[in-house]
Amino acid sequence: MTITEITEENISVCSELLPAELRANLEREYFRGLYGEDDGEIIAVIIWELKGAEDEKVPTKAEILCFTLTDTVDSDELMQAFDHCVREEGVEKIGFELGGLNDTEMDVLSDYGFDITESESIDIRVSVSDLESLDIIRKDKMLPSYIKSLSDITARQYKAAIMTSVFHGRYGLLDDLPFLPMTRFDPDISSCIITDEKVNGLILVHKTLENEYIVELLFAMQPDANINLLNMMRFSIKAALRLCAGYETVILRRHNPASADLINKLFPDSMGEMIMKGERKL
Amino acid sequence: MDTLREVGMAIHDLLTYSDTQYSQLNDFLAYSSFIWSFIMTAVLLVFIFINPKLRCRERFEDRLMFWECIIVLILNVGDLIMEVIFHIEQPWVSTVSYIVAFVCEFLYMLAIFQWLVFVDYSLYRSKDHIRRRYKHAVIPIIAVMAADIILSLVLFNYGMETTFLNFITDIPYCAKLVIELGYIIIAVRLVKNYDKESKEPKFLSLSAFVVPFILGCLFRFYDESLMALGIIMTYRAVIKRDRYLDQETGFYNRDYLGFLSEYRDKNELIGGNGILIDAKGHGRDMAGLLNEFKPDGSNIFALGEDRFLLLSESLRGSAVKMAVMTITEAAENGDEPYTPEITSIMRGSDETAGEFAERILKSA
Repeated sequence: MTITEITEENISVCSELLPAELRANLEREYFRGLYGEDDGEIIAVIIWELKGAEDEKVPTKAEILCFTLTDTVDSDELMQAFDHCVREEGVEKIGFELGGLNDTEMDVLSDYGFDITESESIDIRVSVSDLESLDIIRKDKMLPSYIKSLSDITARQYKAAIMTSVFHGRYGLLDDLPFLPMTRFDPDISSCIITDEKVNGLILVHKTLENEYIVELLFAMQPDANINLLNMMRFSIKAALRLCAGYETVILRRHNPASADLINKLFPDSMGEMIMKGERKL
Repeated sequence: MDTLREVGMAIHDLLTYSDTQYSQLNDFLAYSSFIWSFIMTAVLLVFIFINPKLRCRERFEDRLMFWECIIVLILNVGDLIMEVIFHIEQPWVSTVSYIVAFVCEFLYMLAIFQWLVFVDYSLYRSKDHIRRRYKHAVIPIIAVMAADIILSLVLFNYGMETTFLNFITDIPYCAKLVIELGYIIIAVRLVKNYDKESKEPKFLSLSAFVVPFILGCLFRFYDESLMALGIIMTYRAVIKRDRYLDQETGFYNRDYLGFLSEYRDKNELIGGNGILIDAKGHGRDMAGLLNEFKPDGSNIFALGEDRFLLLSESLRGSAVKMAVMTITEAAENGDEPYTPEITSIMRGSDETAGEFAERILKSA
């Protein structure tokens, strides 16, 4: 088996094995991938994202996002190449949250040193129509005029807002937030607060290529950060109810304790789907 | 016991502007109150005159303080008028003194409200936020004043004097005190919340205003003059901060970098990371760009000769890269395109804020 690093040039070779969104993400700053080829056939793919690579306060983590093997593959070479890559980038921890792993894949990951358990995903999926029942939206209440959609601000205002966010260490789900274009985010459902002609709060919602909406950044600066956050959430939810079909899905990721608290409060009865979870130190 | 009751009555009279039973004490209070109001009126006028920024009021904080001074000036003048007309034995005196007293009561609460707005602006420097938060904040003052006027008119016209009505007339007085204390408590909470989040020194001192206010509550004959004193002491924060500002750009100057580092070392805070920008010959343009892109919570220093420093508490490499790219791109796409020289300076892990500031100033 020949192991090759996935790059912009060769990504089309293994594109059939990858979901569309992941394929697009491979062009981003911290996404890496390898594929194994045998007799011109792609038999193994592993994609991972580096988390906290620049953050001195947390260890760098590699989060495996896709792991696909054919039943007959000899996986040693692939895992050795993966191990080499992550060690080279100073990774201290590796983890994954994957659904639909087959027995071969489970064995390979287990042999690599992962402690695998079945557990609830950090992602909660709700439909747009579920948002309608939320108490916080208060349909009859007018929203303040200083809450705007992303389409109402200029690219310069957006950049200034992202600078404020990242200067405060607020990256949301996106470690590469400073490098992402404004066009990544839904212009009508994403919202912001304008104070003194500057954006000092943002909710960024991305529509994936699988037509799911994911909330990727939620931040507001003081003063009145909590009130402003709530108003932005109302704005975005109302926009989603107006512009999306009721059956469309919204992904809410409980990536830190604060977001987990908020999401569990909003949707106390919702559960993430059961997935296989593994983690190991390097 | 009788002596105690007498002392208690005298204190009550003092607190409610009433005449005490002792004519010498009454005279002393009347004269000293007049003299203090006169002195503080003169001091306030001189204070406005000798502070050109306050006089020109180009900045929002100066405008806030200027109008605060005007309110307190009117209060002191009102106090002087009251003291003078008190000695005139004419039928209109009582009506005029009622009107002046109402105006002064209203302005007194308004002055405390204006101070609260000043405190908020000093912390967060956001005009929009002030407009949003204090849109309805004057309503309690207007409501209490309206109730007080109606109640006084009823009593004045019908001349009713019963214990119950005396109790009723005390309600607006207590409501005013509650409003005044309410504004002060809001200010204290604002500062507390700000201190929790901010890692920067603040020049504002609440006690500069609160201590004279409390003394004013205890000795109400001097409340207007004490408020004038509080305002003057509060504005010292602006004067002190101005020493650390670059007059041309409004950014902090080199001296503030030393002051900030000293503060951070004293409070065992980490020093932050910085981006040095050299915009030779385009200082004004760069100042405009930095104002536009300045991330909230970071500091910009004008180091002189068109050089600037952007200092932030936590800066990851990607944030630095973004800042460099954004500022360079904006400068290159401006009306007069130029390419600034930008270098990032990362704080060493064992470097103190003071050492870091020294290194920055050496390399600038």
